[in-house]
Amino acid sequence: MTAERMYLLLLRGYPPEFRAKYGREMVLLFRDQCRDGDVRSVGFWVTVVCDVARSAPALRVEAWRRRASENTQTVEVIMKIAGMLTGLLAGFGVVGAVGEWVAGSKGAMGGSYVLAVILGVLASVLLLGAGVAILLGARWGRQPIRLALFASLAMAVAARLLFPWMSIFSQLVGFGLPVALLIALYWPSKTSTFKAA
Amino acid sequence: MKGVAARSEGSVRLGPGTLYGALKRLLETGLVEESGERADPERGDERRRYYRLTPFGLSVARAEARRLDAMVRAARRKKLIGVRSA
Repeated sequence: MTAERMYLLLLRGYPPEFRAKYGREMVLLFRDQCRDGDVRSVGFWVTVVCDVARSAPALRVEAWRRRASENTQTVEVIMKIAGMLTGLLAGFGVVGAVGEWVAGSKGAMGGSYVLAVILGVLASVLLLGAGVAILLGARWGRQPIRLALFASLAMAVAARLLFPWMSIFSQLVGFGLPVALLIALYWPSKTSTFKAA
Repeated sequence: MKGVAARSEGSVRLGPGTLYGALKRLLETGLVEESGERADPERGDERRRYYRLTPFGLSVARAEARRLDAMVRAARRKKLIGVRSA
């Protein structure tokens, strides 16, 4: 194996984008080093390996950080869309629950039915609040949004258990949306607008 | 690389990884920029890229040199350097 091939193997320690930009020039410099030094000596290779070991990990970390920051930006966009969707669905939820209340009020209403509808309205309002907070960037942190989502989920479950008035779609939104948003909010992320509380 | 080793009297030896890692950061911070011109067209390899200090890089280098100069002067006043040991 030639010295240059050995060096090309060592270059794999660097991030691909760094290799793509500077790899060729680094090989040219390595050729200069080979011309000026004794390629067969151990000292030469110790210097070469030390150079790679000293510089490659830092550049790898930099590349990972950059990628993580780009991913965070993508997550933020997804969260904004999720916030919009949540607000919209929760708005429909509030309207639906109020409609249910109006329709139910025409006949005799049992206590559990009234409580279930009130809980449904409150769950939708909390979900709406969480959606708006996510959309606005949640300057006060993630914790209030998490609490609102937990409360919304608990109320939706309680409403469903008290009286089976919710449609399958309402149940999917009432249970699925808070769970999905809670998973997203508990997902570890760096330097996000939705800072960990 | 040879220039750095010569200027530092052999105390600083840059390898290609250290050199290009530093160059990448200098480019990202706007302290150096790629230059189309070759310092010595006779000797220069056209496959290589050439870099030069930006005006911002020059002012940063001057500021750093002034800072180091002030430190060296302070060390001299304190007789930490420039005094022959007995």
